[in-house]
Amino acid sequence: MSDLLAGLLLIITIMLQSGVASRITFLSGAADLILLFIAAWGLQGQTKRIWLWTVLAGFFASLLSAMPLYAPFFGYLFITVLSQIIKRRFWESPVLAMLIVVFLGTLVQHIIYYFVLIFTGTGIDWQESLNMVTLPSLLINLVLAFPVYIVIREIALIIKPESALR
Amino acid sequence: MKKLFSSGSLRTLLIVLIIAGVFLLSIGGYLTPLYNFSLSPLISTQSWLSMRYIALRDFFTSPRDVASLRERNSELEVQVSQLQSQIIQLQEQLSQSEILYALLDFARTNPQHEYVAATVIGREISPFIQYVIIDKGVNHGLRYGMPVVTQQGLVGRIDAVIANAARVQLISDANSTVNVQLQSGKIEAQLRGSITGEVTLEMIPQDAILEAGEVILTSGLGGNYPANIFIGQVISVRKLENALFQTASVQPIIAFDSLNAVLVISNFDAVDTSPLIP
Repeated sequence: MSDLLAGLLLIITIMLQSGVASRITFLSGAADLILLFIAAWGLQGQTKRIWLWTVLAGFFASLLSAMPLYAPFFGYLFITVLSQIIKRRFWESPVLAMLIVVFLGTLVQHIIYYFVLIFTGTGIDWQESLNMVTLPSLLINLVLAFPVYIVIREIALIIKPESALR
Repeated sequence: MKKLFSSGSLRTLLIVLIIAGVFLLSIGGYLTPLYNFSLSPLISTQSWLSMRYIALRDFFTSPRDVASLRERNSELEVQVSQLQSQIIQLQEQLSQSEILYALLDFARTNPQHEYVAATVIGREISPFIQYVIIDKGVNHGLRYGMPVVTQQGLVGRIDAVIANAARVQLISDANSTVNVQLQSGKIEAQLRGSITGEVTLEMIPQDAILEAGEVILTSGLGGNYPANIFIGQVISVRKLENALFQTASVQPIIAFDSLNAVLVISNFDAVDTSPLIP
């Protein structure tokens, strides 16, 4: 039951990302709710199944996205690795851990996007992508990090994290 | 005579005369000050009693009135909120109808094409690229490469398609290239997007005379898009002496951020030139 709810939450997050969050832009940057979901979920309690949700989220996001070479998949995979490392270092201050994961995760994900696009022949300027896409996206993600963490934490408590996240 | 003026009859007569006199004085208004003087204590007393009664009545009856008024107020608030939601629904329907009428008008003015109307249901999750997702797919006759337009102009082309949805690459995407012509001078050039969604005109010959405000249309060259679809206008021209070509900034006619409904040209077969590219 808890797995079903977690899966449902993941699907809702992907739909919200595509239908709502991507339309709300600051300069050319936009929030990444899937990244925030994975980061917040990875920082909750015992999270052995976070790998399953990361793979599923990355798979669905890659299907939905036009980014080549499954770039979203690898971006989200990195965020899960990062969240598991950071969680052990900052277990006493999860909000700080969330901010660090979101900050580093957004940067690394955008670096992956940048190099994938360069590799596939899209001519983009790194300064323009940094100023107009990455930094605005980073700002939005950091602003949303705390509320998303609180929501995911409450949901994780509701659906019994000791069974859902193990 | 003695009998006539007996004490009883005289008293009666006197009473009658007094009553008649008082009556006549009253009619004549001569007793008004007397009335006022004598009635004012009564009126004051009556007022005091009446006010106390009203106060007592209000004390016992007002709570019930307030409760009923509150109930009525809440009922009216519910009605107002229902009416407001109805207004919002009607406004949404009206805006959708306006969009559909505009699309229908465009389809009527371009009868050489067959159109499939679709609603934009999502956008690309990566901010680096410019794509939208529409709610029509293979089941509705859509295929890879079909051009997508609105009543205003060119939107892009279908990049991927599944049974009931399709992904559209916008002309503002960094990977998009559209062969265009300028309406005035028949100058041919290429329209390219960028990661920020800005659109520029490239490959304009150096000897071409270009001015702000010139209209840009598709040329049909390359076989990716039909010819003569409106794209936008030139904003500014950048001409460097040592460059091979001029470039120009373009204001697209489509507001890609607020794209809600589109038309897919379903009877246009795009030519796939990718095998020819080395």
